[in-house]
Amino acid sequence: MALPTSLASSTTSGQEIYQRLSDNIQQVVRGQASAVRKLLAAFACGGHVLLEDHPGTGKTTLAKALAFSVDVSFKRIQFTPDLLPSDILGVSILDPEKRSFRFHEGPIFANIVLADEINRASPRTQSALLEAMAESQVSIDGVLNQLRDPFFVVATQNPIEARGTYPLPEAQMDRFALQFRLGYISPDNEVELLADQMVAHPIEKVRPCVAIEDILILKQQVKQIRVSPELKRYVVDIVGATRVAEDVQLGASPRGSIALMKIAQAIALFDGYGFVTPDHIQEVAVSVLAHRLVMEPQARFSSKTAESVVSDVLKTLPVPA
Amino acid sequence: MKVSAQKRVSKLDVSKQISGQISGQSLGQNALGSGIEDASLCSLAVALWGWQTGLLFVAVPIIAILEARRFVQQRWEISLSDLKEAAKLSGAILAILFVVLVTVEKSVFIYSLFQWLPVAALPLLLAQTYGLGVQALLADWFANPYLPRQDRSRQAGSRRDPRSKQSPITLHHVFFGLCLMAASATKSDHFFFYGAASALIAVFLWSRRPKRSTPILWLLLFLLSTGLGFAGHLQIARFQRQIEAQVLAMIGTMSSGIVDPDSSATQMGSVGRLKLSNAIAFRVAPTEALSRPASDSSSSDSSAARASVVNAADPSMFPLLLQQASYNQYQLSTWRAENSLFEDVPPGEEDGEWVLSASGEQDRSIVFSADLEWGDGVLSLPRGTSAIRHLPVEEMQHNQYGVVQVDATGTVDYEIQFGPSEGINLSETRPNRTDLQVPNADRAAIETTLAKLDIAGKSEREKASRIAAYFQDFQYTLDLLRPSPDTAPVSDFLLNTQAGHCEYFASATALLLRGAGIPARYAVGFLAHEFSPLEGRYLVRSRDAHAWALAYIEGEWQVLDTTPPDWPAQEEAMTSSFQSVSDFFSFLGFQAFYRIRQLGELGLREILMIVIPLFCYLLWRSIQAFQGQRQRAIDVDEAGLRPVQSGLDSEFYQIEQMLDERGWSRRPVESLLQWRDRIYLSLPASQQATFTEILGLHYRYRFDPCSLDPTERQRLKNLSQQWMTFYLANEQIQAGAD
Repeated sequence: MALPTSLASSTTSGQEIYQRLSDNIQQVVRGQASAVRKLLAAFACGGHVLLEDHPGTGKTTLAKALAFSVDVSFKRIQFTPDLLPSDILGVSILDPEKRSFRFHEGPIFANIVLADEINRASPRTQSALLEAMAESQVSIDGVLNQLRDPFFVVATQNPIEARGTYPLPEAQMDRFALQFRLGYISPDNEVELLADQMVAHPIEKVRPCVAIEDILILKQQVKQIRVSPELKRYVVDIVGATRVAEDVQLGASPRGSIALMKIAQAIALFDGYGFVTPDHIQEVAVSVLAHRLVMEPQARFSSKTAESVVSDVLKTLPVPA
Repeated sequence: MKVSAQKRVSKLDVSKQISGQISGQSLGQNALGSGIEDASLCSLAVALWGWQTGLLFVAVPIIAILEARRFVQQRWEISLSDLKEAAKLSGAILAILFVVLVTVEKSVFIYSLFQWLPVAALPLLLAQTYGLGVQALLADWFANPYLPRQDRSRQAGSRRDPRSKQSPITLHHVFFGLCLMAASATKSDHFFFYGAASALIAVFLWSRRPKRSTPILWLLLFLLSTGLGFAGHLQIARFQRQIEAQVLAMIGTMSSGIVDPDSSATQMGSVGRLKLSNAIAFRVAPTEALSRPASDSSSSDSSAARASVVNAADPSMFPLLLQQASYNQYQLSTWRAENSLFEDVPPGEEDGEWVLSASGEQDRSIVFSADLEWGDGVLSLPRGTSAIRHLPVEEMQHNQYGVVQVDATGTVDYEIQFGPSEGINLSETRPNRTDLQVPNADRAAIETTLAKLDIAGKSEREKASRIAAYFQDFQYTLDLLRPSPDTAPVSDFLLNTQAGHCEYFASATALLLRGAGIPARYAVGFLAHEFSPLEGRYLVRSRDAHAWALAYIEGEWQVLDTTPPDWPAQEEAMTSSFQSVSDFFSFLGFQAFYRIRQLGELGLREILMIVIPLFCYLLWRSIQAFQGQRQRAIDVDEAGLRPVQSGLDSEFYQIEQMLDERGWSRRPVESLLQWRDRIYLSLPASQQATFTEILGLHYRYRFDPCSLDPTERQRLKNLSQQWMTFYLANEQIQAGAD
């Protein structure tokens, strides 16, 4: 239950943009309000998102819905085992007429990139994304190419299929600000979904509702959300606790702390706040941190997962109040 | 368990590189650290330990395990709980060793326990040698050993980085010290041990020496400290021997301080050396103007007095013989009092006054300060004692041999009056036949000696002085000489050794007197001769115990002390130069005793006046200390864990507390919003919205770095107070309705 907006500071325009985007996407993706919220939070703070769920739960649809809702360039890369780095980044090809190499931009040169089934490509190819995702730039043939702003990667992967897939390197996992599942929607929502799909796929009806300038304003406003030192400390405490938790081989990185703070800022903006509260941090901590943890192999036997570790941390650390 | 970077590298990398890295890590040495590894140092220490204690069969496997680290590349990650398990195992081994050694070795088990300590510490040693991350754990531990557990786990998150945290102390160091300590608990050659231990410590310190100064300086300093240590250890050994001797002597005199009125077993015929303690038995002060030491006059007199009958009326009074008991039957080195019968001494008119003989002339008196328990209640009395004053005892008894016994304990001051003519030990019993008995074993020697003296037909006084003169060439010695197996001690003393201590002199004199037809007895007591300028009193020590003969001459028991008069000097020569120090402390104790006794005479009011301010002061101090602790704890909390906490004065906390008291407490892991959602419906409906508004303001006040402007701050305050008033009123209405 959120607080009445009248109490919060006046950053309404950012919130409006969020509201518009959210409504637009939810026309297509039914019953996934919190997923949309997280997706947009990552989008607004410049982080990337990894969607992991079973086939057919709407991962791609969600990504596409976002892409179509914003008036920006969108590319989709279907990851396959034989995909090469140049297929993502681009390649220099000899132009026989001009007798010189011409650089063909790869699909990475877009505002929103959908990396579908990202774990089907080899680590070699996946590594091509590292520089792009961390620093919004790519180096090709020794030339540094800035990517567009905003640059947003939505990757999807399938947790069930292990054959023919490559696990994502930890370094790349760490570059995703958020990872979350969509999960199955409620029966009512599913009935609505069926109704929607009777005539045509609703994704085709989605029209851009915000301009690229709006997105830049949104991103700017997220950065202006205030975080008190005490809550920064709370963020660091949460991340630190994952490093000493039992059955955890590798805890969350400082990049995790940064991501947690930024996402919490975005969430605070969405709620109409001018500052972050502990609740915002708690809301997104699992999604921000869990995928960064490397669990001990034997943790599986005690049915501990990275998610449960983070939520245990939230349940043991005293909350600033 | 966690995988540190090292472990990952170790999985991939070549083994050589790892072992260096790991040992470097486990040693806590920096790259510069030249010299020997700590683990190898431990091996050396174990070797020394095995050699010293003879437990080589244990030491060799330990060394093998330690050195195997060079060939075994595998290392295990050690968590705090693993380390605790290792420590528990060590404790269990120690407990088993304790039980086994106590049952096997009984009372001397402590040495063996010390010797086996390295075995008990073995699990910890292994954890250090073959474990990864022990250093980080120790570093965490040493950084703040008193942190509560949950705080530790919280803090550790931000601090624990196995690569950067290194504890300055490793378990190897502890084990090294333990080995040296265990090796020292043996009785083998300590010169070798000192040298070896010093060498090991030198090796240990060499790699840790400050790099800014020259090795020469370090070496010089090390040699200096080693030399000083060596000299000190020799001195301590000497000091220990001294103490041992003192303690032995003290134990010895504890029993010899007790005087048996019925018999006195002498040390005659024993072998060895008499050890007498320097402990102060009692203090004597003359009550007349006699506090000046009479040493100068006594020394000139004593040579004359020695040859003649010592008169109790000697004008110098000191040195003064204080008699405890006398005996008349001699058999097999033991003097006995025949038919000793105790009678009650009638109490005098005054409280604490006891009259021993109703004589008139009492021109002398002395004051005793004595612990009555020490002599088993037998009083030491000067010759001619007629009355005792200020002695708070229930009853007093005396026998016919001049023994006065009281039934009392504790240190008391009492005054003794004595005179030259009459007194308890002047005219006790008339001599009987027993006083003339010479035992058959010594008869021959007595007669031989008397024949030499040519005393036939002389007067009794003349006989006594001749007998006394006979001992002039005898030696005084505390060494107990080995007697001839077939000769009685006194005969041996008279004929062969001509050297012995006062018991020999007194016994021989008594028997000689009897042989010459003079009734004689054997008396024991003390000689008060040492004046302490510090205390203004004469000190009588245990070693001043003395024995002399009593001769019945001219109707009176006279003292005939034939022991060479320099015997106190000889005994004094044996005392250490520290005696004055111990005397001083004895004096302090004595003074303290008086002060305490004076305190006892104070009224309750005075005591309270002293105690209450003291108590108040202590109370104040402890309160201060407690507050300081709390203050520090808060400081640490704010400085370390919560660097900035703004808005802690928010009035919302009052609401929270109020609800908390009513059972709606917030769990620490619950944020305020979650808490509100939980309790929302249980709040009165009219106040739910206001509660949310207050919470919103509170959130801003707490978590918004821009905080509230003054009007909003005021609003938070007002709303909170109104809310609480409403709530309370509502509650009362509810209660009334119920």
